[in-house]
Amino acid sequence: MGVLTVNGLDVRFATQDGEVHAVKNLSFELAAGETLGIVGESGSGKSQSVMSLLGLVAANGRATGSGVFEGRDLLKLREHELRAVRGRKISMIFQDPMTSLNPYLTIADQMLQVVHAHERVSRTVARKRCIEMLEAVAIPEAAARFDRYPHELSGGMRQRVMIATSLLLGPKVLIADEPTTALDVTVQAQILDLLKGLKRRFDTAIILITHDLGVIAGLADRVLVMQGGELKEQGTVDDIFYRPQNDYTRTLLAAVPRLDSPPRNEPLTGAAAVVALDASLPPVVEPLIEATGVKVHFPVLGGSWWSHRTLKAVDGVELTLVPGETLGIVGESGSGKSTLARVLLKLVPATAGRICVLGRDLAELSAAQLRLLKRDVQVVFQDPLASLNPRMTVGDIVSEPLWTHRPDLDAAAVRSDVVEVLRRVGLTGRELNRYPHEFSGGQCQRIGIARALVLKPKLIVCDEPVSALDVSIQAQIVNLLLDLRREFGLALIFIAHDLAVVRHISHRVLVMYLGRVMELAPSAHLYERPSHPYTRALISAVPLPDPNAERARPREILSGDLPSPIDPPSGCRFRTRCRYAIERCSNEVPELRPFDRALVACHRAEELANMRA
Amino acid sequence: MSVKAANAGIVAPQGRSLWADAWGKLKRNRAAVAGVWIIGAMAVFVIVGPWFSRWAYDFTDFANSSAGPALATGHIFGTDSLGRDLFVRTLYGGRISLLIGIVATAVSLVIGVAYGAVAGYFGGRVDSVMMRIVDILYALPFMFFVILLMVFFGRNILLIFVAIGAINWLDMARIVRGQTLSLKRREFVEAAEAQGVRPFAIIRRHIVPNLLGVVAVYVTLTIPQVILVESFLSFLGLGVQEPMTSWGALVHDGAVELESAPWMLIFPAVFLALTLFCFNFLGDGMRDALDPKDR
Repeated sequence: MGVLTVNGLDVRFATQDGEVHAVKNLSFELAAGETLGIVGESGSGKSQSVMSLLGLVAANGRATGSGVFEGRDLLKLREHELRAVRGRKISMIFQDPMTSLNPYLTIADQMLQVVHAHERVSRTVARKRCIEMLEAVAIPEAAARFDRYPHELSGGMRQRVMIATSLLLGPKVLIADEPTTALDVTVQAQILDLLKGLKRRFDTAIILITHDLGVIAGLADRVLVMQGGELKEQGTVDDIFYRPQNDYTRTLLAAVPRLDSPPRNEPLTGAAAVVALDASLPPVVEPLIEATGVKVHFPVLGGSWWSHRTLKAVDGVELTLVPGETLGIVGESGSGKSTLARVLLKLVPATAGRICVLGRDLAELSAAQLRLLKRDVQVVFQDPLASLNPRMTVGDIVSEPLWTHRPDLDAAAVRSDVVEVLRRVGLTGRELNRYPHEFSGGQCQRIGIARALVLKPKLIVCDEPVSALDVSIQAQIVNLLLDLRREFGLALIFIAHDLAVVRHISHRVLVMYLGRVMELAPSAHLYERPSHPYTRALISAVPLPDPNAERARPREILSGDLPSPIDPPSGCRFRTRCRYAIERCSNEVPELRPFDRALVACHRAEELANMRA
Repeated sequence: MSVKAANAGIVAPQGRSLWADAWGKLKRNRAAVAGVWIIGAMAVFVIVGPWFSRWAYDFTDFANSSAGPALATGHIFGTDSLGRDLFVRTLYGGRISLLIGIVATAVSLVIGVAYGAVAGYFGGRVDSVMMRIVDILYALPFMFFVILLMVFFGRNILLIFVAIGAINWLDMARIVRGQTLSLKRREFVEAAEAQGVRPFAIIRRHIVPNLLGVVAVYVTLTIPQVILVESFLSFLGLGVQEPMTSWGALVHDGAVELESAPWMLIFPAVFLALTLFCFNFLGDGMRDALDPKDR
């Protein structure tokens, strides 16, 4: 007999365009103390199915069926009865810890309000319980942090506070809706580790809703796979991953880029291959981009007016890119990877350093020359819809680079080129007169790529081009980029926080931390034999979509959060979170130096390599 | 070449623009639709109506001064103390009031959007200088400014356009600048910059079309405001020159004669109020229709 038994659950929404059937006849059972993963792409109804049980559907939604919890059907409870269940018996963790905490209330206010809403206890008792719970979720100096405001804590800490709050009343069921999606991979590893420990300690059943199969593999006991509101398959985690019965499950598993599988990436040929295979050698062909000592500092508000503080987003980066090469850039958010991409295009001005693109120094170019250069260097952005002007038709959006750079073309020639490039990125060419909001995220990203491609550039900078997309769409877009690269001999700079995707597509990978390069290595080498402790931690933090590997894998979980780039640590920037840090690391900034076919900025690279051998 | 020709000749279905969406939503708003119809009817009426009138707007019918509304005399709205037909004067007043509302708003629209978009997009020092100029103009007392103009140039209908337009674009510029500041951080603007699109092309193609939603709402709310300001000026005697008139001037005259000839106030006031109502309903409807959160 499970804690929660759901039978024939249906959720429908009445909208302007007719009825939307979000969840179709869903039945499942949640056993006591088990972790049930619900996995599916956006729009699969995975969140709605659970939300509707708690009466949290939007006003135009209606749920039918039954969800029996402790002998009562949740769907038949009145609002005030449901309220007694929510939070106390069944509690939730939401995706975004930024928005689910009220910025005007202290942590104490928000946690105590939960206790007082459900139990009559004195303030001191409640307070003691809250602080104990904060300690249980491994918040250092819990008593001191208790009276702080949410903005004084980091994202990871806030998510811990959310978890502590949801566990305060000893719920039977904990619902975690994409609990780590908004977090960096290193912080995600901390939170997942925490959830694993808590599960054992509090014996709470967990419903884990996520699109990330790696998270499921590491945490869930049983899995439900959903698509288009229907339950496609359910089974133990091993069954789902190793013996999937349903076609959709197989497709989903196949679409996930694996960190531990070899890249599908064809090797470079000719002189460029030297770079791809050995990052420590200087390139033998003329590079597309050659940057030395690049710094980007932003003035920061706050402090006093006579002492200007600066945020060092990029602080001394060197990099080269040869024609046809794909350079991956990875790092946590705040590591400066997007700023680095922008400074290479002069979208933000460099504070110091020299950047040569196609052999021309960006600093010396006039505005007109810079515009000319941009013909050969294009960008694809992270949010596919936001990067397309909502008031322009698809045809106009893709034509715009031609209007700017090819005034010699007449309207028919522009149209012909646009249709051709739309077809090339996997659209039909019949989209010309339609608007971006009429397309899905994946289609919008194809339009964005078509716009970047229409001038036949030599280099495309992709700033997290797939992070906003579903897994199966991600795979399509990555494969499209691989095809285009082969066909047009494109060089790519591929920024991502997903290390598996980067491995998949890159020849070389640049690892950034707090505005500096930690390691630069050929892709295969980096993932097999990472030299820098930070690279190792990053790779170890990625959850693998493979339950056995996930259980067997030794972990190097980074403690704490990224330090502030306004006031970075002295010496090696990574030392505050590095378990191998010695005194030298805090006194001396490590230079990027050749080591074992890679470039590494670590004083102890040799020692660490020996330790592992 | 045949591929090229085939590509150029491809049949692409028409999409649904955000404007079409907004228009559909506006059409479902009854108050706004009624507002549009009444404004339209009012405009036609004040333009066409005087052609069918027996009297000119400045003709004084000495036999019927201060006469009440009556079919027998032909003065269906009555006459004023000089015996001028109030019906034709109300329509003439409507022409002036609507004209001022629309022209002054159009002037402020053009100047305000261009000024605000340029200041907001270029930012930095350009923005500081341009917006300080706006602040200084704001600091001029409006009435003082109008009286000054009157003293120098005499009373002239054109001056009212100039005066109202000169003040109104300041608000528009501020609103547009604020919107531009948030728009220029959007990714599609960055994408255009990355492509090397020229700054003024970015303003024209990316900034201004995305501003128009907010601007359109503001415009429909500005027109009644301008009509009201003109009425206020006319009420103070600083507006249009007799014998030409406007709704504001008529209300002013009517207010003086309220006890002896109430029709002199009632008819122009009803026309004025009805127009203002309709513009406000339309403005509210547009605000709802163009609200991006509701899409």
